[in-house]
Amino acid sequence: MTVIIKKYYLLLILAALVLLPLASPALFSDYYLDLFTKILIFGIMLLGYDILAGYTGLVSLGHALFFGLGGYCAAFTINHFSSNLAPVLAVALIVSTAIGLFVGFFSTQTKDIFFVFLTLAFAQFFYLAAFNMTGITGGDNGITIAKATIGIPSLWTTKIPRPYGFYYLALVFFVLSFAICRRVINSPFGKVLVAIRENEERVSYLGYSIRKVKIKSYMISVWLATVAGVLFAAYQDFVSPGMLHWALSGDLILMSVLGGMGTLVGPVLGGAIIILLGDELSSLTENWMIFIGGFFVLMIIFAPKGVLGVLSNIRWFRNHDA
Amino acid sequence: MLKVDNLCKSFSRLRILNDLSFAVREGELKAIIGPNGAGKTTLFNVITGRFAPDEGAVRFRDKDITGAKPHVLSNLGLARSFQINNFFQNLTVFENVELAVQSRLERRTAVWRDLPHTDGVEARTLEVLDLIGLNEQAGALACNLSYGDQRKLEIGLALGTGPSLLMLDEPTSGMSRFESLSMIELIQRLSERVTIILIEHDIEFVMKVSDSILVIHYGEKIAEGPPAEIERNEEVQRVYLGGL
Repeated sequence: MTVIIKKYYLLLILAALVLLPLASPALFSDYYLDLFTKILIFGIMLLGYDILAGYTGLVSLGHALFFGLGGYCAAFTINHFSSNLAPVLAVALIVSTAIGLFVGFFSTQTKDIFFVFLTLAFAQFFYLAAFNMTGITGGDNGITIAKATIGIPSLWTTKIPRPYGFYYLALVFFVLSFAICRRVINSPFGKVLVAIRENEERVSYLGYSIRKVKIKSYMISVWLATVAGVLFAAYQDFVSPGMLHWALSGDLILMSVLGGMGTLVGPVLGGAIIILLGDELSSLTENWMIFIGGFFVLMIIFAPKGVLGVLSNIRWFRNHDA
Repeated sequence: MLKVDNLCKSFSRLRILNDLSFAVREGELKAIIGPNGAGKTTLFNVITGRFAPDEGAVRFRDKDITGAKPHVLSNLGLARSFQINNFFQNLTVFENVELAVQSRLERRTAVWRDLPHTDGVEARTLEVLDLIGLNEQAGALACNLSYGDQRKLEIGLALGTGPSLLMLDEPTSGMSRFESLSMIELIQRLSERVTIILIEHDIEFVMKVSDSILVIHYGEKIAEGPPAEIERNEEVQRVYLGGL
């Protein structure tokens, strides 16, 4: 049994995620399926963020910029041009590529705290623009978005059914994102990312152009944040400046550190814990964030490698580590 | 092979390198000696692109490389080791050298494909590990190596890039006598394959292995020539050798 788990644990997790909606409403209500959908969407962004922060060592405090950008691109494209998700994603990815290259070009010239603050500055610029340009973005009120569709235009299209349809759509994108990120970290490029995180100067002396590698890493995380932003906005039928706010970027760091950075699975696990724990606690008390904060402090002190680090120290997991 | 002309470098008002010129021939082992603070490591740092010089020029194989970035110089065939260990502490010995070997490939940062076995990365990595005598520690984390082995790994990283000019900054610093002997033997073997510039304080070793020695003091050249000539030089005796 343990050999099977060891060998096929990712497939087993995938099977569980595919079968999860079948347990609703017998074991849990549709409300939880909504939460799981959000976890999967945030998971896509967290996977990309782990490539940047966990593997390359570039901690950005402005990554919500691309999540929000995806959201606003979705809003404008769906409301004015096409509700079909394929062109919506194409438009969002083109826009985020242009802005990502611009921000990445300047940000990757810096490192450490300077990178943190430069990415924050760029993100806050877009946040304030979205907040103040009420004629275009609706300001603080945001934009309500028409229902997104999937399918082939002029042949067959359908609105994405909720909650099940959107859950599976998010799952497909999550699995694709995970496969891409896994490919990235196991590639020659992935080895260089880890080397940059470990000792940037020496990588340069080995003949690698640090700048090019960092920009590539940055763009991978930009694209995944954009896809997550498009899905989130389309799922919520709404976008607001909150999707661009630095607090969301802070949440990404919190989730990543809590789960275990540089592991791919860890940040997603951290995201799931924060979203589920936050939801449960917020139904009990208004001051739920104090408990999340306390939990985070305890984790940092006693388990700095995150939940995944704790699990890997448990004998069973260590013995059956895949 | 390498030509340094009138190199000057200052930090604030302190002049570290002052009008320094010298040349290194292909296949030569040139040692750079001088008292602490003479500017030896700064000279390495300026040649290898860590700092840009204030004045002067550096030419490598007739190409002007003054102020060129480290990765550009590495791709031209110039590699260096550091006085203080500067490798990837949390990677294995094999992974450390593999990164250096991988850096010579066209697809060194490929995202969508692995390096095929035909690229010979593994074979070349093992060859370098064999050369530096660390093949048995290939799977060990670099941070867990003994200090002497860490110094060898430092050189292994530079060697992995397949350099034509190897610049070694105090490779025996901090080593025990026994470890130093093993390092000296390694450098002697390397000198048969590649041009070397060596910063070293072990004068006995320097006199034994060098083809030519450059002596600097307060950033200025005070002597340059074969070991026997340097040994006889009165000014070198006065400022550095102290009657060896």
